[in-house]
Amino acid sequence: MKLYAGGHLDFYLPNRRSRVEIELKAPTRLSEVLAGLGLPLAEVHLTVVNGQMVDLQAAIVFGQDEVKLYPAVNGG
Amino acid sequence: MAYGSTAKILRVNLSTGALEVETLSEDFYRLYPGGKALAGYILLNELPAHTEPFAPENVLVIANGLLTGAPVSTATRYVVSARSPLTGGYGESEAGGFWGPELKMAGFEAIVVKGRAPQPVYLWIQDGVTEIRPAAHLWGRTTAEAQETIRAELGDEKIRVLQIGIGGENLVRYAGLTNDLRHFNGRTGMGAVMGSKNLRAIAVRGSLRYQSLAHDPETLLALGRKLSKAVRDNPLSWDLQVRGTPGLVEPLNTAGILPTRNFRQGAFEGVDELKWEAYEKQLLTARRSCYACAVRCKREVAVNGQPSPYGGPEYETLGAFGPNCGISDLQAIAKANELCNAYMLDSISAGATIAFAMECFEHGLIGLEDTGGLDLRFGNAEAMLAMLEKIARREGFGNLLAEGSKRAAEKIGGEAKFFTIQVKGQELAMHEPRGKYNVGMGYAISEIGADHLVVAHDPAFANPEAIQFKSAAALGITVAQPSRLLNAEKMKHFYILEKWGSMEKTTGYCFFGPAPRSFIHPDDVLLSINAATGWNMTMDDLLQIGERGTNLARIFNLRQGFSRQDDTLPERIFQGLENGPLQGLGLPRDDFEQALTILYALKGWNAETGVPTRERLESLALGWAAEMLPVDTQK
Ligand code: SF4
Repeated sequence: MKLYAGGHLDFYLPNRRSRVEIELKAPTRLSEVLAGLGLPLAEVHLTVVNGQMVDLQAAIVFGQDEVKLYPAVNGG
Repeated sequence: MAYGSTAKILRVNLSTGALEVETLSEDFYRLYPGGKALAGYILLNELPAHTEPFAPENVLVIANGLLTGAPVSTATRYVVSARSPLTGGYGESEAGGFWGPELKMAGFEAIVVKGRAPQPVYLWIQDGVTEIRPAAHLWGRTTAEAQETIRAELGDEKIRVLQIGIGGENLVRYAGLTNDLRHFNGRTGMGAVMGSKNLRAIAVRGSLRYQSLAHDPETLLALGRKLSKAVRDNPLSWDLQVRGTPGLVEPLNTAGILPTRNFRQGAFEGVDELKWEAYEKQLLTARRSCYACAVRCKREVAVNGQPSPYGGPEYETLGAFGPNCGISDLQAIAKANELCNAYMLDSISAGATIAFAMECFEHGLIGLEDTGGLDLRFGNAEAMLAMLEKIARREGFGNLLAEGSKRAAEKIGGEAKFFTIQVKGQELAMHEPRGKYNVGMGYAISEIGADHLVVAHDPAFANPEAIQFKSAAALGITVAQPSRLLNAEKMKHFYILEKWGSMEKTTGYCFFGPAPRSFIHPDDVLLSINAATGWNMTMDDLLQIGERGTNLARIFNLRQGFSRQDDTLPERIFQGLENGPLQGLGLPRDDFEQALTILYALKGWNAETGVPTRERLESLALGWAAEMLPVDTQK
């Protein structure tokens, strides 16, 4: 799957890159994938899979799925 | 004893040319330690109620915070205050950069300007020596030209220049000030007040060091070093460094809270052209900082391939001239940013007022004959830029829009008043209150009119495990709450966060320094203030400093005739958004009114009138200010 970590979420990804590709052998819970990457789920405010806003806890991902994550953003 | 202050205020009477230095006592400064609180004290005591904003009698206060210039990241800011020509109430705008610290190094905490110079002038301050100099040759020039001229004629490239532009000269009601061409006191028309005094600029140069003013310089320096290292180890300050505020565009659009087409919509179809990745590719040339700040959230840009002397557009400017005007042309938005900064207009009010005019145009309330032939529809970037030029010069229809959307709507008539998205006359910033209800409460209750920096924004407090929420525990915020809810717990959040924000504006901290918005833990904020002052303050003392500042501003407005009726939101906000994930959802009016009553009670204000009780004022050492309340409001 292709992962885009928006806002400050890239802080938690390898080399602090906002885009990573992850090979999944089978359909997997997105929350498990993120936990494996060390990305704290509490920081994820919005989850978009293939253009649809979804519930992070319920999302299952696989293959060429495109996942975008955004944190709670504050003012400025 | 050193307590972080030069204890000096420069008093300038431009009518007579008199320059005087006032010395403050430590006891006084402890109650009003700079910035918002000091400015509020001076305005309440020295500015008679109902003074016309453009009259020579209006008082312009420029005040550093207690910590401004300290060797601690983000302690950079000063406020500019006066009666606002945009709202008629308390005017205030903060900025960082280098000018505030330089003023402190030149020996002053604040400058109080009264009167009006017979001819354009500028003020020159060098290490306690002050001079009023002619500025007729600067009048009409861009801010970049004026800064270059001042530095050249004073023979020092390191002089820091705070100035207005032609917007302020022409009394555009939302004209601001800029320092170093990149840091802006944008809001509430303080630049127009300065222009009405024929004061184009204040140039400063100083050689003091903050450490010589501090009670415990070693602790302050050690904390400064620790915080400089911490910036890149905290995801929030890391994000500010990498992307800065332009990084907000995409997440807000995804959440459906990116103000679009004059706040009708919450999602913008052209967002891909405006998100950070486009900005980085098309505009970004370098990152910059304010004085001694390791966050480095400022952007340098090239506009249409030309390096810009003005710094890059922040999120607010991208939002105001972009989605809110239906425009996705990033270069045109960057050009609008340049024009605002060259002429020194508040980019939020300028963009929002043009968006208002675009909606009037599309509804046929104004036509080509009014706009001088400009097809002022949403999405027309060329017309937007042309109108901005007219506003700064008060030419044609620009003369009406220079009055701000509220006054323009009164003139246009009909349903125009429904298209003006403002509170107390000041336009909303680019944060959608229908997705962040406490931001809406901040817009409503702020003494300066709609302001997005009254409290840290709701989404930060929705998840009890998220870092922003956890860092707020030190302030007393312990129960997470959803963004789209107004209840007693949310009002508790608001009450605490408002005090904290006001404390930042008083002590000179940038909104992007302290938690919960960013990386400096509240305990370190407290440590920095105690190291500077030796006052052994508690967290409650800090919050009380903040509460004192908001009450001073409140009393100022009550004296001007403001009341609970003014603490409200534009009608549109109570109605549903037209698109995006929050389509059809408005901010519930009854919930808002009930929450406002709860909040007044927390603040110790009368539920009906919004007037602070004498008891609360006395507990804040503001008993003297109770005497200033109009008698008929003291129910
Ligand atoms: S965080 Fe950004 S705006 Fe604030 S002081 Fe630092 S560089 Fe300036």
